[in-house]
Amino acid sequence: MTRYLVWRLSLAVLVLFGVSLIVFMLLHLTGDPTALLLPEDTPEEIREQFRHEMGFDQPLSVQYGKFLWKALQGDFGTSYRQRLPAMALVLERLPRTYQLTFSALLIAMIVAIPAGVMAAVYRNTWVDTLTMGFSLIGQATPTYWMGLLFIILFSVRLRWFPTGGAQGLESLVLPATTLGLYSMARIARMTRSSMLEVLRTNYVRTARAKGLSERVVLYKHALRNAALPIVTILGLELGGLLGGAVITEMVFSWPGVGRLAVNAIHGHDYPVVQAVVFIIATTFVLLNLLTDLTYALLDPRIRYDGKGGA
Amino acid sequence: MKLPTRVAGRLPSKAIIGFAVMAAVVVCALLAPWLAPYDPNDQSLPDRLSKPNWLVDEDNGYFLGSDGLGRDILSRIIYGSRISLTIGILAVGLSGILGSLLGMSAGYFGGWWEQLVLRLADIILSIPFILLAIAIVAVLGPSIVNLVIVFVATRWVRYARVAAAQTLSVKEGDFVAAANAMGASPIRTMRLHVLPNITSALIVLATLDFGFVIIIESGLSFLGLGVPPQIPSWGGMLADGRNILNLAWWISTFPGLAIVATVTAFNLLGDWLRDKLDPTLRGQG
Repeated sequence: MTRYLVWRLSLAVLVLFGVSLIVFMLLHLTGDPTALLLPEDTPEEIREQFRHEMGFDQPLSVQYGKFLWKALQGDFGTSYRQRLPAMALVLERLPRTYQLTFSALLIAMIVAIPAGVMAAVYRNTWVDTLTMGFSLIGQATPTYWMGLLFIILFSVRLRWFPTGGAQGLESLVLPATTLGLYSMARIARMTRSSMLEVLRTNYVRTARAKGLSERVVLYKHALRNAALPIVTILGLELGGLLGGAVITEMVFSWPGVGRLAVNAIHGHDYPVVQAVVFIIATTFVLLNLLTDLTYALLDPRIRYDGKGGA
Repeated sequence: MKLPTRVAGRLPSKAIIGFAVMAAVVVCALLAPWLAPYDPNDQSLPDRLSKPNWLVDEDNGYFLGSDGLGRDILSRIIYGSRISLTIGILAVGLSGILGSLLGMSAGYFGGWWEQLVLRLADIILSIPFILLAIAIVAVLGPSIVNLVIVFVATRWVRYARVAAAQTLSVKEGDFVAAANAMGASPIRTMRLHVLPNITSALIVLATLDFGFVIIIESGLSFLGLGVPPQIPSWGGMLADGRNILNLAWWISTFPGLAIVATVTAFNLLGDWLRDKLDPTLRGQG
């Protein structure tokens, strides 16, 4: 377990290091950062002066070192538009994005896990067909489109929920459901196939033969063992949801970091873009780490095996 | 005439539906100028926001309605299929080739090269894809070429991981040892003995990835970071209708249906191919 822990932690550090390199390189992708930051008709001597002030005339490795040192202290520079530290702008909106993402995952799990279990138990009946049909179409449905349809139906026609913004719990319902739909489809599929595998095993047959009630068999014996792959996919889903939140926030004018990032992109406000990408990626790396460690705790094979599977 | 029914009879319904929808989209893309009732960019201000003609008593000539500039929705959907397919084919093809080559060589040679490729894949996979795509497009500027670059730069990792894992198991085979013993160069061994044994997993992955690329491409276009607005694209049309949802629901609704149908078709085909070519991957969707 210790060996696994050390290996997994150093991987996370390496990945974060790589993420910082990618975030740093964003500004240098076009070769000349001043082309992005200054208007096109800026005279060359002003451009040169700006380059010197910002340190763009130094070797890339030196620039990256400085960037990394500052980033480690949470300093991504000042927003060009709002004249505030980019990090502060991001941290101010981050709770909203987390709120949206975790509500979406919660909604997805509440619907998808029982649906997946039912589909496996009633395999090849209409319950199964219906669940898998929904899940197939759910996986093919762009969340932002579903969001627009929800707004047309529930906000414009029925006036049940607001069309956007973040005032109170009722404004969370539509964005979180929209965002959760995609994960719902995938979690339902995963639960179903994982349950199908477990239901065939001998210990489930034994549990049934002992005369345990079907509910105890399903939820205590089968689902617990089917949970491993589901836990893994939940970790991955959170990453997808964090990314998907960007578009959902735009559809529902949700004041999170995704909307901040897209607006910053349109306004060429790069420190804010860099801060958002770095923070979201860090969250994702930590969540993955947590998932893998949970997995290791749940699965004795990985605990004793050192490096383990996956 | 016997052959087609016999072949069709053996295909499961998901493959038939998948093939049929995919064929329809390809036909739309190839024959757009003949199929579309109007020029997709023809504006007709007096006809703006016309309802779909099956919802009104009088025939207005717009089967799926018109948008805020009086452009025909149906024609724009037909032309939009070109964008989705072009970007899908280029993105999946190029990232598939790049990722397979990197992954196969990583699995075959092992050592520092394998570590480099796989850890790079870990890093790229740890940034939520949409966010990374948005950031890159933001710097490079929105265009079709840049969209393809974004997809290739970020999607190759999935192919690389699968190719590396598959190569690792294939290279233990006696036929690879035999090829090496007979003096085949690594490139020859990989081309003739490894590659044919790992393609089916990669084809399954590519088919499933196609739908994903279409969804993300339209999402980026929806945000104004994808296909430039003057070119008709499904994502761009969703964005066009977004601010007038209460006046004209049809502008955003029908392009979305086109996306759902196309992506469902590719997912069905991918599922079917997975069952057929690579039963070990079953259930990992």
